[in-house]
Amino acid sequence: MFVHLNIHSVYSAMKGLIPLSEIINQAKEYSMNTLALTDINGLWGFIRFVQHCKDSGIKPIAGTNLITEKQEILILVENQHGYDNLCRIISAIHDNPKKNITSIVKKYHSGLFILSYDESILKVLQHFIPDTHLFIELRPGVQESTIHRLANKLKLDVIATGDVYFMKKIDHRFHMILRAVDCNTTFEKLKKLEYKSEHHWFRNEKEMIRIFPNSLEALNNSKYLAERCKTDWSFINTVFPGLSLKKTYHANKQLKNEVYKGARKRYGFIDGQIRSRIQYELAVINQKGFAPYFIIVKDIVDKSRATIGRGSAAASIVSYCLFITQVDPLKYRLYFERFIHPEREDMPDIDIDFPWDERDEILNYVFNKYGKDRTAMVANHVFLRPRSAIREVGKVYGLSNEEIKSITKRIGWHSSYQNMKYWIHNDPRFSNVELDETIDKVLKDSEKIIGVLHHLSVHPGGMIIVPDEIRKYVPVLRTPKGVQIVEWEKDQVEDSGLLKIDILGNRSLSVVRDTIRHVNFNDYVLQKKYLNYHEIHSVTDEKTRELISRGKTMGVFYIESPASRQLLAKAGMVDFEHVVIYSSIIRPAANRYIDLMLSRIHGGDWKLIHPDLHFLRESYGIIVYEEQVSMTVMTMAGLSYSEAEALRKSINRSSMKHMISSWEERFTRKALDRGYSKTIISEVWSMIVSFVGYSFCKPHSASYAMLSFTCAYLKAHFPAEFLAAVISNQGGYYSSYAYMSEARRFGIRILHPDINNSHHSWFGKKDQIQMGFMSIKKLQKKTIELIIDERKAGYFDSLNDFLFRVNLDLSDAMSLTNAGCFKSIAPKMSHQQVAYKIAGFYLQNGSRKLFSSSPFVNDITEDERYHLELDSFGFPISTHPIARYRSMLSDRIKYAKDIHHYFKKSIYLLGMYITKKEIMTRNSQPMEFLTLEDETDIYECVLFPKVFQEFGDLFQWESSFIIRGIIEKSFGVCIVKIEKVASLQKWVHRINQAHAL
Amino acid sequence: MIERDVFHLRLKNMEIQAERLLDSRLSTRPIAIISSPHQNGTILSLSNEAKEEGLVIGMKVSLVRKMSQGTQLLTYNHSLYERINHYVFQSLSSFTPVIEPRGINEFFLDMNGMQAIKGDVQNTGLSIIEKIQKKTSLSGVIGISNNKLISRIVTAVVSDPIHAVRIGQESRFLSPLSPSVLPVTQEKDIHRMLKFLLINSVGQIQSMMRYLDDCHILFGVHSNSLDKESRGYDITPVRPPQRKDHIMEQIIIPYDTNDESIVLSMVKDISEKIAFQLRQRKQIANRVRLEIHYADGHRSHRVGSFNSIDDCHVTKICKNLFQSANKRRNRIRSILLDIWEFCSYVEQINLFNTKRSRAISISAAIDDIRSKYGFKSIQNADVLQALISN
Repeated sequence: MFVHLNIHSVYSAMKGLIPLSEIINQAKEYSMNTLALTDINGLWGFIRFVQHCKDSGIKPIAGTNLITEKQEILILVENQHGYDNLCRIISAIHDNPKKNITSIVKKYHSGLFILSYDESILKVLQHFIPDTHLFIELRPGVQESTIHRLANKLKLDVIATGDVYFMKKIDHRFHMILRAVDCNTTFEKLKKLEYKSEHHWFRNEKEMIRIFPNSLEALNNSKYLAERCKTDWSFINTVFPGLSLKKTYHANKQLKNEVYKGARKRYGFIDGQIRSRIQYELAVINQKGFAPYFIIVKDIVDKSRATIGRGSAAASIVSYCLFITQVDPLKYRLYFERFIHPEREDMPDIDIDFPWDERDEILNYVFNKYGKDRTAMVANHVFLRPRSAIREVGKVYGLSNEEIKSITKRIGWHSSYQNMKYWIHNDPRFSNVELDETIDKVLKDSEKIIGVLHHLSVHPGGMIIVPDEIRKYVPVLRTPKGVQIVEWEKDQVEDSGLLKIDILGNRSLSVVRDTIRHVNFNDYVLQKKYLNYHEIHSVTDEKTRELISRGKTMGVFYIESPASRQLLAKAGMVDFEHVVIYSSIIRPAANRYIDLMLSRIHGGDWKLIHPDLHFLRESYGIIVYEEQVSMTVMTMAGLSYSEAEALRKSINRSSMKHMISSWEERFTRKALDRGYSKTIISEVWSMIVSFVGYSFCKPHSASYAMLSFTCAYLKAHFPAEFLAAVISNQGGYYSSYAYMSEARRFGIRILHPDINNSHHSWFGKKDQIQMGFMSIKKLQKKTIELIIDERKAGYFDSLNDFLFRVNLDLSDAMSLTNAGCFKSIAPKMSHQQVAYKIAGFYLQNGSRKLFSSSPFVNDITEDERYHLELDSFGFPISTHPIARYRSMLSDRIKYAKDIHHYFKKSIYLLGMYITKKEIMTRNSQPMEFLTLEDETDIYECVLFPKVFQEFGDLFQWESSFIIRGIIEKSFGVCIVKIEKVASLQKWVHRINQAHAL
Repeated sequence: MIERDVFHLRLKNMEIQAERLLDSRLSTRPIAIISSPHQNGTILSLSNEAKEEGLVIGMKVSLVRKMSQGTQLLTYNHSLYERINHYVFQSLSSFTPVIEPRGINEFFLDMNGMQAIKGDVQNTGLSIIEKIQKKTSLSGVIGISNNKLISRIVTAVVSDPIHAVRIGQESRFLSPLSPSVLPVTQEKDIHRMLKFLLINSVGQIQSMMRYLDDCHILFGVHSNSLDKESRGYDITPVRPPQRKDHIMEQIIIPYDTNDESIVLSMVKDISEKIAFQLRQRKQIANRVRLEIHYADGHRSHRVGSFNSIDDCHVTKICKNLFQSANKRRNRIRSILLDIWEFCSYVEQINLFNTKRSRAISISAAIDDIRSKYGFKSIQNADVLQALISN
């Protein structure tokens, strides 16, 4: 009759080794029907634990092992009030880890059971905690006789616990490795107090009796105490930001008014269809108590001009009329039920994107308005992944950074490979790495610690607002930067019923905002035509569609990657509905369905997998959206709405990956029962699993597609303003250089930074872009501000005028000179003369004098200019890097703009690196897609496994290439199948050497 | 100007030549000598084969590893190069008593007055090159001029085995060369200013120096040096080195490890070797330096002193120095002990049987065995075990 009441999982950061699933499986194997999860100082994985327990029919107990520098107690929850108090206690410890535990417990002990093996703590606690709730803990490593003596002395019951940290005795070594990692030391130097002894493994009842032979009563007591703990956990009720009836009543009323006001703005009129949809949605929203949440979101959205609501909220006309989302759900047939289904128990949250540079301001606004008592950010749980595990264990074994990186650089960020040693020994990407005995050991040990919680970070935008005190729902803590976060990551937050608002930064929204600002600032002001974000009719604009259909979408939100651009060009069909499909189907596991869809778009024969799945007709018979997954399983397997949602979530979330196989079995069985053939079931299931880890619902894709169209509209009509904004906001898919090249392909002239005309950021106007001061490397921000401030008093007439008006550091003056900023105010001076004058002036202290003459006469050479530009901006401006070599090479080398003339032919091309993407083939062989450009155009290439193995490494350090490849076409779009690659610089060097000989 | 004959001998790519002498398998392979195997380490020296692979001096080790899998990366082997340097120095002593080594592969020779004894300077230079080639199989080049600055620049930029710059021709010789040949341009501020002004040749500096007031502002305290160097003016004499008495012991652990028990046994082993030598010399060292060489090229050291020369005391001091120096988790490749500042040591007879007197007696007994049968004839069990397990 023993129940484990002290178990630490992987959520006990850098201490516990056991994943929740293994704890549950082991408990089931030992026929234990109740378990307590007592991770150190937190409820880090409690919601997940409850879900696992429910799936396995085990009763979950909430608790924590509270450990500070000097004290340690075990707390278990008796009832809901106790849970609230536990959250408060943990939060208080997070606030001040040195605080005396007993003083905190004194304030919040009701509804809790406290266990301790420390006499001094027990003596204090006995003053205010009744004997019915205070116990002595008998754990491995503590002597039975000592505990029994203490029990007699204090007249308290003894409870035996396993104080579990690892599954088997042999896992103790990996616990020590974890501790060595955490303590930043080596295995041998690890101090005894820093780690648990080898006794803290998961024992069954018999094994517990073996270590505590004289404490059968203490073992039985664990069962009695477990029965008194709360185990009926349910998180169905959503915690809305406003709770009182009065507040909800007012919110309902306010919401109705706002929605109708917004509807008139959006549609200009309110007809029967609009009215009935609004009425239906408002009725459901009011019934679910969702109105206060909408009012809060609306309030936040109003703080910015350019926002976009994404996720399922875009299916709601209420969101649309409140200007939270930007897609008309009526026009694009988005079903409100995807957002709030009458059968849905938990409530969905609303995600809103803000311009990236406004996000912090918005977050501050929310914290200030709702207060820190009610508000907190969502956490991110950072677990040890293969890369980080190898890095950390490598350090314990004393490997150098270089040795560690030789392995970790070749592992993707999110890889979670099993049997890493085998994998690394056999993967061709590691063929050049020397794998010795130590590295083998590192790999073996790393495998065991993958999945352990390493630390917490802040979710980029998830925010929770509760009606009263946040500390009673979930423990909160502060990050080193002072941001208040909850202990749970977004999935657990969602599953616990806490409603979050995702306030995310989006660079494309800043691009849209800045482009509109620049367009309105330019001569459009004179024409009195102002662009307005909400009044851009991009979807019906011909020029926009033409741009998208040619795949000229570099800089356009979400559809700018080479894969997306190619898909758009191949498809040719780029109306809004199709772009919504493309936004959703571009995901890692769905590559084969993309080609299938393209063939169907281009008129290939196809029919529905089964007539019952008629709702797939809009996406060419392929499951593209999340709701299609739900509808498919409801139709074929007869699952209820909530079951279908659960299946969809299991497939979507990596944390619930373990449930996929059971869902597959269930879906297959039920669909077979309903008469569907095995072939159809298997075909449908493979489409469903292509959603693993990454998928969108239709409203979300529609929202993104709307922003894509807006960006495409701006690029089509105002390319200079748009691309300048893309470069200025940085962080796009491509480098600034790539966007600059794209601007050139649009016939836009790039102007060097100029002391009189440049702003901080890049500025586009009609057919030219003026580079901003921000593009000059090493130029301080304060200098830019100083120049712009001084310019308000009037443009600089001459170099002398500048020197006497602006007092700069020499290094900044040098950066400005090298960037060519003074050309317009010193047109007759050579670069060296300007440099001589600048250096001489700024090197003087006190009253400065100008140098009267200069020893230099000649202007700089092309080559010097090229290198100056490289130094100043990181890329050349005056000439294309490839152009320098063209004259030295054979005429047989073709231009990118002409490749379509050489279909099926093998040709030579020159190329400057733009971007690349490494993928694995179905046979697990690495290959690469590559984007290059020459002076005339950008082009796509592919390196199949054999070629990749031979030349793939070259792309790690070289930037310009000469390639030989065969031109292939797919749906009319050319791609170069690379046969050979060489470094262009080396190639030219060899040619020059040969000429010299 | 006083006429002098200053020779500069440069053993080009000495590190590469030395490594190839040591291991003939490397003779045709591309080799790069690197400052450290750490990712931020850089290439110090390159074989021609490695240059053809596209590698250049100063390139980061991380990039080299990606670019050229076939290139053999060898960590700078200071002790080997030092031994060769010493040998070359001794060989040069037969030509002149005034020799100044510079770094590991360069030597200045003051050949003033030698013309009368050795004959023509060009012939003397040739015989120096031949002798070094014969004795060490290393090839070198010689620059001859009136001063150290020009002689050294000659060997850096001229590929002929011997080249002489006559007195008065210095300015003309330097004019077309890159400013980087002048030592003063290594100063950060000077380098930065010359780069900013796009100065590509010493000739341009020579013409700038006509505007001396401007140059004082532009180059500050270095303007005089820049002026002199750009004209090839240098009066510094050739200075022979001063040598110190020291004992050095180094242990290279057969395989890199961070296992403290093994490493401490190694420390014990070399500290006993040092203690043994000190007792043989009847000297005590006021300065002891323990240096740890990590597998990734990093080094760490601590300095201390000995009060006694029994094994127990010396080992204790060395262990303390090791523990204080070893603050990293990385694997250790070798440990070096260097001691100097010796003075005589006489042990006072102890009338009582103290712990210290016992340690001294044990050391003396062990010394007797080691003197008779060799140092390794008697060793501590843990040292032996560590060596065996290795």
